[in-house]
Amino acid sequence: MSVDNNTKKGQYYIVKPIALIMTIIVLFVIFYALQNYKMQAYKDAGAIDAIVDTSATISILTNSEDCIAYNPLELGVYGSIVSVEKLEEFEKKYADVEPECARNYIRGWHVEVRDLMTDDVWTFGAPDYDKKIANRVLDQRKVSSMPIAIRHSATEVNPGRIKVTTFSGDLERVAGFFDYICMAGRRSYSSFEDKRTFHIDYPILYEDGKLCMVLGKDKVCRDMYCEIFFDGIKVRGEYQISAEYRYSSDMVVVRT
Amino acid sequence: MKRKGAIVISETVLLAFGVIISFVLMASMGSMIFGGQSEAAEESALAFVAKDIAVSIDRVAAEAGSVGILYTLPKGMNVDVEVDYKRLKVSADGKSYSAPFMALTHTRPYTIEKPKYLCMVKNQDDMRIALSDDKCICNTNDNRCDPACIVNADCDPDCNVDEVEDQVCDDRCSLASDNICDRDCFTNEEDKVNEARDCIRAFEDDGKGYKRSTDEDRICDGDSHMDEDSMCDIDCLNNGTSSWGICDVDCNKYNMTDVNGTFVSEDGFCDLDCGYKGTVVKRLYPDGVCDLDCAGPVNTSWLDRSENGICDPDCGGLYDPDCGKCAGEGDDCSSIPCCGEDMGLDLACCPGSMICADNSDPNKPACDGNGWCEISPFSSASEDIPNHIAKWPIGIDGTHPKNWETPYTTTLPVPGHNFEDCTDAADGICYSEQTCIGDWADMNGYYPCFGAAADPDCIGNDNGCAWVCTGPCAADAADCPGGGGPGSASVFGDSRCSTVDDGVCDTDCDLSRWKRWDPDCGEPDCGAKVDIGVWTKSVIDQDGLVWHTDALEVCQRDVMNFLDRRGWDIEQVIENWLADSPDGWAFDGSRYSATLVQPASKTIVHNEDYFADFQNCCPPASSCYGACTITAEVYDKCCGVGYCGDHSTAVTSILRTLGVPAHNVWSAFYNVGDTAHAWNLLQCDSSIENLGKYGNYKLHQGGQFIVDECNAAGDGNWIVVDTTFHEVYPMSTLSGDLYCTSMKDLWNDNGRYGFQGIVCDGQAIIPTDADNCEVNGGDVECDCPWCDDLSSCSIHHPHAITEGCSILADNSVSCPFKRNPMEAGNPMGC
Repeated sequence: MSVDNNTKKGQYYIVKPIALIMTIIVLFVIFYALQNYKMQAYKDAGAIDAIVDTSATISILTNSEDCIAYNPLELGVYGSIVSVEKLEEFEKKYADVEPECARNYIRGWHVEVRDLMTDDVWTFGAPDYDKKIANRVLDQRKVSSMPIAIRHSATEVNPGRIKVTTFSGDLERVAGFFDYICMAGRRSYSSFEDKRTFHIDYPILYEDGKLCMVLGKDKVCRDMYCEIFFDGIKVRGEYQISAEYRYSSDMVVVRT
Repeated sequence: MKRKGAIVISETVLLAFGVIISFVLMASMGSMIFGGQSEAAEESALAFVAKDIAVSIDRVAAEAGSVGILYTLPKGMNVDVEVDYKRLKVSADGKSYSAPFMALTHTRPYTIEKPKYLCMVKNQDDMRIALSDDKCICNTNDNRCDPACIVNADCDPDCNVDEVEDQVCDDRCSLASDNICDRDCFTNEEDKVNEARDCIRAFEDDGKGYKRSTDEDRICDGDSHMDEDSMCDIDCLNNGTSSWGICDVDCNKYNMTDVNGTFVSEDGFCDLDCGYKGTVVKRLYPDGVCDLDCAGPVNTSWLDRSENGICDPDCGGLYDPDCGKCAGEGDDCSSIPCCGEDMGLDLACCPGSMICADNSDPNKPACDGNGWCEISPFSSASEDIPNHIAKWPIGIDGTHPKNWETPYTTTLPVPGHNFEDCTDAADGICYSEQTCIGDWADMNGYYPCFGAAADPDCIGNDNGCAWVCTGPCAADAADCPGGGGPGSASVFGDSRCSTVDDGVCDTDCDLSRWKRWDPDCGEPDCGAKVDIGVWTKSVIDQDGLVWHTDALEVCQRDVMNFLDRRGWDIEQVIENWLADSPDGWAFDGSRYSATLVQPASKTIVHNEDYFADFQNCCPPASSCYGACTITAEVYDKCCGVGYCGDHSTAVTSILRTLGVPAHNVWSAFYNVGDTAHAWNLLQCDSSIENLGKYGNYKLHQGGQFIVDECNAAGDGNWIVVDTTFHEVYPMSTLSGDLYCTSMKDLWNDNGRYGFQGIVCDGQAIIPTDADNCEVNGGDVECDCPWCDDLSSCSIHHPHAITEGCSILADNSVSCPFKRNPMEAGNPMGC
């Protein structure tokens, strides 16, 4: 009898700790799964936002008179008709940056408009990424296109296609933030300041009027609305960046 | 036996640790699941509403025109909505969520407290997107501004309240200078309402009608650009450090003084927004006031200044040394060149007026319609033009003959210029003396003056240019020589002139004889001069002759405009037709798809509006080929310039309108097999002079023909005028050519002269075709119409075969519709 008791006691000393450890492990797994679920939901919401933003960009570009939509002097409403004069103006003015009329400063985008009759092509917006670089630096990339009409004159309206590529990465977020500060300040005709936290994976520099992300030998650059005073970010990490638009000098001063 | 310290961790302790860890983990999970979730739920709700509103704002922006969208907030959501630049913040109970949106709202930041509904309205006029707490109902008498009224294009006067911002600037309600300051309209953007005068309350007055603001509020009304409202807003001034790009023209006029006849101002500001943005020298717009702040720093005296790269043309070279270098728009360029690209200008020095004109629009050549009289170098009046007025070839400096001003296209006086032929001033010279011969009353040789304005030097009646019945003739026909009266129908050959606009030209209306005119016969002062005929048909279709009515248009307004721009000068007209596009006529390949020739006026107008370099518009390989029909209301860029049938019709209309007698000009057509072509024939007749509306048509001067090809062809012979191929040459060079041997018909407004079945020297030279004129067994015998022996090609004696004409036994032709038989011996007699 004493042998059985001792055996039971021995088992007791082994099973209970194991059970405890298993319970702890199970709880950790549940905890991790919940966290993971939250992250996945967050990621999916991001993807949906990208789709919504892309379709809103196309709609506003082609229908808003602030953008490339044809704006008749006479009364009348025309949907999805773009003006060739505005296309040419936008191509010159916004060769490497998104026009303000359809920008939320969260995402970058690039536009290509093609005239299907004459094969003319107009492009504007931030430069698109090549595939290799895009895979490294972008969280989201969506492409959408739709048919439009391109008005050359009262008697010449050709079918066309507009293709919008939206993308989102560190460079777009940082550049969007600086441009937002710039335009918010300019439009309020006074100084304006804000700060945000960014996670930066690759160095970001400001040179020759462009904000650039350095990827080893490659570099991706984009135009900015304002002149920026920015030392740059050279090391990967989490940064709280504050930016101030100075009205008197029409520039944005950045501190990290 | 227990050993001391042998067991440190007892089962109980382990159990306790396990329970504690489990408890901690469960508490964390519980907190995360329940506590975190409730916070997340709260945040989610705010985020949901914020994003939803943001998406709705973008949706409104993405609609064309003025639109309104109603957004209903979820029940129970009591949130404040703050709209700012591209950001929307929704807040409640100390928590908030900010959502970005893409659209430009063009509003200042504002907050709406705890709305139940949000009406989002976009105004197409100023692109503003306004949010308001209402149900998108337009009610104009509720003391509340309803943006929804914009969608209905209604004015809600409640939106135009002094000093109240309601995000609505509607130019139907808010008016400039109504003493109500609508702050929504006083912004740096354009919204069609300049509220500077109403909203600037702190200002000083110069006692001369102008005011200037004293406070800087960083607002320069976007609508004040080039708008004179007597209020100078100092915020609009470009002082070199800040610029709105807006020129407040009142600022230069504030406190201006008159110095020896020149208005000057000096206020410490040189507003560079009031000028062209050149790179080397900036040139201000002329406004009648010399801004000494722009004239350059003073050296020794007020009149001795240094260059500063800025020219105020109102200062002139006297006060501003930068201004003597070049001439701006509207300035005299006879001694200095027009300012160029270095000043951001694209100007041409118009050769006639020697004034600089805007040359930046490729569709509107510089010197066209500028109100100045540009003398065409080909005008016969040019012999009297002073030497300093340059003569220029077609196309130089962006000018084209189709857009020149000539004495015929403008009657505006040209102060300071000695352009006698363009002025209607009393200068002792009647425009073209020969057009104002005689006295109105004697009815002999009366030639009305050109244009609507009268040259007082012309002898005539009160206005010198119109003619009227000598007595009232509305009802009493006896007062109207020639009878008929306004109510009678047009009947030919009844010696009565009907003025009824019935689409039929009554050729009994002889202006000089009866002083009455049928409007269907073209403009009276033209049609009477050219003895206009009744035949309006012209041919098309290479597979056979298809006659289209109302194609020939003699003395039609557009035809006359064509000639107005070319000084009614045959030399200039021919020179134009010989030139390549765009001066010469273009060719529309897609016209082969149409089966009817189009009216001459359409071909002429489309070619006048054609400014592309390429000759062959819409060739067969192009996407527009076949798209054109003359009945289409909307033409593409090619349709209408025409092809050979249209060109030939237009040429005959033009030359007949110019004054070429009917027997001297024809449209001609040949076809054989798959080839066909239409062109024109013009006889070189040295005896003709001073014909036409202004008596300008003559071919011979100073012992030789004005048109060189006539010198080559010889007096009495014919030249081919082919505007499709831009060629003019003696017809004799066509000997043996299909053009000649297969020529089917000749026609003009006097009728059609066909040659089917004509035997020439015993040989049938024209393929037979059904026709109604047969003599002697089906063939019409005649002297060879243009070839005595087929070795030379010239017209001699064709017989007229017009509709309704009949060939008589003696081979003469009787055409009852002709008012006057052709003179005996006329080789082309009917």
